[in-house]
Amino acid sequence: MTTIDANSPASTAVDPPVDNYLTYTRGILSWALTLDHKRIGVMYLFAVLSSFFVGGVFALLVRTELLTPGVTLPWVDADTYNEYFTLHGAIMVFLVIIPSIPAALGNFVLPVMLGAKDVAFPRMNLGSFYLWIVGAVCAVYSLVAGGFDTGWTFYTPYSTTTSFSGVIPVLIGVFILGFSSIFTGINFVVTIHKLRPPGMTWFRMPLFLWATYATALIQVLATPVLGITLLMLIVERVAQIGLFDPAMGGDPVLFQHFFWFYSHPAVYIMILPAMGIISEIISVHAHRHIFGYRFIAFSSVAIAIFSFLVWGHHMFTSGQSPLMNTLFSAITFSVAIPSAIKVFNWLSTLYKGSISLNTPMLYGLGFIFLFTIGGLTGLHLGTLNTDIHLHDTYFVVAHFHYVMMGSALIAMIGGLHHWWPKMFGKMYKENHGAIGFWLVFIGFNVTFFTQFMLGSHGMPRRYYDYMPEFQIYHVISTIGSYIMALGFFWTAYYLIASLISGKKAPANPWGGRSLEWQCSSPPPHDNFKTTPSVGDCYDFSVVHWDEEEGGYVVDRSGLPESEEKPSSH
Amino acid sequence: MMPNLLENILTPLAATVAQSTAPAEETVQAAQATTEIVEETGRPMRDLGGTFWLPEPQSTLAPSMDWAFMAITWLCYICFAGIVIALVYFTWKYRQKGNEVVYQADAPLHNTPLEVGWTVVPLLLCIAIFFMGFKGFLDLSTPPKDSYEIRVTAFKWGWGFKYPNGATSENLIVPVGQPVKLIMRSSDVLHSLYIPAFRVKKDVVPGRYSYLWFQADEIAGFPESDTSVETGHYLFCTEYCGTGHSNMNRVVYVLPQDDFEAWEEEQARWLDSVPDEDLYAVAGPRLYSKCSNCHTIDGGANTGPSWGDPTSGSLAGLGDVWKRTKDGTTPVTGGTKGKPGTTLADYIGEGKLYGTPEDYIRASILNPGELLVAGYGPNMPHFRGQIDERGIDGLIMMMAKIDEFDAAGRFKGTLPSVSAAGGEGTESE
Amino acid sequence: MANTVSPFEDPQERANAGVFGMACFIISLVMVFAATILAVVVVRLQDPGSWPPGGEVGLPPVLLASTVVLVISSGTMVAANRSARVGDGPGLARWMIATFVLAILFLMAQGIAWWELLDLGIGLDTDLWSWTFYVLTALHALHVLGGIIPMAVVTERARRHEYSVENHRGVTYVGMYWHFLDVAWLGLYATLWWATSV
Repeated sequence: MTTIDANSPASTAVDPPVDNYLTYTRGILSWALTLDHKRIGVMYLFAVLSSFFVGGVFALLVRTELLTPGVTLPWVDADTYNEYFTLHGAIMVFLVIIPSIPAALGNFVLPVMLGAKDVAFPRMNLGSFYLWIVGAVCAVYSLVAGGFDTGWTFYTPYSTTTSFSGVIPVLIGVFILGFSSIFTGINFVVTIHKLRPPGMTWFRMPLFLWATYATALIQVLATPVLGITLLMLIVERVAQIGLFDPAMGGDPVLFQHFFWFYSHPAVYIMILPAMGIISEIISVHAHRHIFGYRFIAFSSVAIAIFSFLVWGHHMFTSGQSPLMNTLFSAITFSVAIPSAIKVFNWLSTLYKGSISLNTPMLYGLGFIFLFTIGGLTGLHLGTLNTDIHLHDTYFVVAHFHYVMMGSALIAMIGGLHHWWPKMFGKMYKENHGAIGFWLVFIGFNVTFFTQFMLGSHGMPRRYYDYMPEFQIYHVISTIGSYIMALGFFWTAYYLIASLISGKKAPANPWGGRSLEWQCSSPPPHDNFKTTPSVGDCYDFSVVHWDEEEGGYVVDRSGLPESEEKPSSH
Repeated sequence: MMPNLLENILTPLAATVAQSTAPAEETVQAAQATTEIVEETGRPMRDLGGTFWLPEPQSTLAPSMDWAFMAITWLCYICFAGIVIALVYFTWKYRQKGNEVVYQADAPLHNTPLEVGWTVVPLLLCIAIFFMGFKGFLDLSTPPKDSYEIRVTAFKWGWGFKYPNGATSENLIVPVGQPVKLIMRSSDVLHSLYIPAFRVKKDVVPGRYSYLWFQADEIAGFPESDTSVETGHYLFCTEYCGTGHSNMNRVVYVLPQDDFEAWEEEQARWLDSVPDEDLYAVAGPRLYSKCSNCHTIDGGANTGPSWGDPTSGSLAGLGDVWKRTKDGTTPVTGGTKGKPGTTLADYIGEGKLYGTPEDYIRASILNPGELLVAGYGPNMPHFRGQIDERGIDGLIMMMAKIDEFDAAGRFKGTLPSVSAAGGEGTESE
Repeated sequence: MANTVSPFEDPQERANAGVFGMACFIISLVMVFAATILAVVVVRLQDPGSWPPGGEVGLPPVLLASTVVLVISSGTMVAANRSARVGDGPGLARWMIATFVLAILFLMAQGIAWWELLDLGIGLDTDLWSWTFYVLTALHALHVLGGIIPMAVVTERARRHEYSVENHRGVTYVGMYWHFLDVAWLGLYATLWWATSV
């Protein structure tokens, strides 16, 4: 252990105050101007979780309003309701889920996993964080400037004609957030290409890195299309003429093509890193070499590639030609295959493992459960004739919440629990974590499973008022959302409590094998004094429990010389 | 507020439970509860019907969609059960006791035949599902040649249906057993026409026409009055279009061929048969039903200015629409020709934009958006081609005598033709 | 803190990573312009009429001049890069100044093109043709403006002979970006030229 660097816990146990990124320098400015990827990751985490709270409040308002047909909350009329669900969608997509895993957790973990000191371009990294802030400020300003009720999809010509005057500020905000996302993507692509440590070939990378890499490719290639589309939309709203305006020969369906050319891959910006986290969580907490590494790695890349070719399945009813519909439906099914492969591989990783049901593992298993439902109901929507019935109903709402929240966000929360000891050096209480998980898991299913029935019976989405026969489902769904909210508040409570009174975390509390578990918790400012070299990061045969340490240690004695030794020390 | 809210939630739930489980003597209570809902929400509580997943299929296209849906759903059940059983079983079987790792050296790292297997099998299943959906979709997207064509205009927030003989309606009335093709266009933003019972949906896009077809194979009632929704199928707008999006639903009635033809004939001719003196009392309310989505009569707030004496709307105390139009007191702040800080008086009169108050109202129906009343946005669609001069006459006369109508737009008095013929005494009514 | 600006220890590796990152950024921008061109092409193909609707106004001829200026500036940029590689400090300064002046000239020419159309009373909201003209040229001009600022810095540093054979990352990056802008403009100009016809 001591060979890896001087800051490993074995030596810290002795005494001298440890160099630790949280206390390396002090003062607000040392955070605001930091170039340390870990601090930037933590700031992103704080920002993303704050946005999640705001987006969640809007979700609860929407669900509460839907308790009864027509007006429920006295101050919520149809326009206010439209504004609420628009805000909920826009905040959750652009401010929460897209940056959550890559920018918050990825920023923290990725360089440490690589044994690198930082990402390739630390200044650009900080820049992209501030772009995120500026984008978020624009979104907030849009509320002051009159709000917006366009739905997060900004479909024309509604978005160019609505009398809400906050549309342009929020479009500018989303445009800037896009830049933030592109810069993060470029940074990760270059970091993974150029900063892998000796011994880490492409096929020895932790799968989280494969997933992040595939995500970064999408960010770099798809986000600019959203950017230019929104710019054209802004110009069109100002000039009241443009390429999407049917009155002058433009084409509103073109906007949908462009929007989904980004926004479908964006779904994979959300889900791919989530899948990466799950690959890590499952293998670490099952203490078991991941099953079928290459299939999982290739399926990440396959998903990234296919994701560019399926956007038209959002438009089966839009009036695009039947030929296009057919092609898009066919390609859509091809995306199902790599997703299925991953699920089967995770299941096989459990086989003959040594499974600890820690909180992160609960989230990992919960992810498989929820993603299976989300993925399978995607079959109904990818099929041409059933989609005609289900399109723009609550069935779609339920489906994408199972994927974007039940999968992407649950994985994010799971990853947060997985790396929490590493990030802050504190352990939360295991039983607290389990209670939080079950509240969220049960609440989630109660909320969204009922929405499948709502949708298949024909309840359209984005409805303020509805037929009374749908009410029973809405009431159950709303109750579920309250349970879920309770779970999230509880989770926030015990995580914060752990910062104050949590037990000190060992370097390797779960028995992880990849590099981030081999520096102290929290990591020192430079992560590793010298670049470590690595071998198979899923070989758990060398991981043992160490009673003295209170955590796991990687026994390096049996390993060949070439592996795991620092290049110089 | 709170008890009221709770009641709103609980009553329908009780009604639903009572309906589904109640023995005979309790159905009366359930019925009562249901009636209360009618009053609360303005919509009757109907049975969801159909199966656990799907509503009753009512068109020739629906059964194949339902079959595909259920086939996929069963496939989902099987896959889901398999995955979850394996998940729970492995988690239990290989759980770790204590902290020390039980490392199993024979745990496989990969298994190429197995992995290829679970790549190929889902692929084959997906291909099968795709073709199932493709076949159904081909039927959905090819309207038969002999279809009965109805022209549809979608607007914020309603539908105009126009039949080949010139009849128009707000709800969709179709003949049974005959393919019907809707030729749809939008006069403002995107909308989407969705009839769950028929399993059909199509976006209505401004600047282009889109088609949708179906063939209803069962009769679905006929309205006693236009507000009844007891027997028809719901028709929804499923593309978000703003404030009134969730109220842009109408009803589809499926009539026997003879009844349909009779209805269509009557619908095209009814205005001609109304005697001149009854025009405002008969044609007014009937035409007003289209306006009622946005304009109230009792002064209540809505998307557009109220026609009646506004006491609760944002234009409180201005007087009813005819009075303030005649007096020119309505403040005008926008539109293509209006300027902030002006009132109607600046636009109505000899040599001005509109010669007479009637001209202004006529223009507001045929060409809205030239002047916007303070506090209201440019939301009104135009009704060119949907209403003739006689109809406009009727509406203007109705506005002028708005006191003779109740809040729902019903004529309260006795028809002028009746009172003229029937003679004395009925005046006081 | 200062020692952690880059995780790369070897300056050559750092420069390679920089070039790679710049390439990624340019690919991203390629998507922007490709999408823009595609949007114009799709809408133009759907419109059976002539662009502009009246048909009497065409693209301002000065665009041809600005195109030539931009292509030449790409050439001077190549020369600047070569000077930097061989360590020809004065040559680098000379070519950078030339490129910078040409860049300014290009922007002025674009400005004249705008002025010509505005003088005819054709604005952004006249018709789809004029909309396309203004949006495409403005989009490109914004990217040029974004390039001119770092180019000014690099030019100034070149004048002070701050670059060496080993370290001239700034020149490389500006060069890559500038060539990209050149190609992007050729694409946009071709699109405008194609769209402006019956």
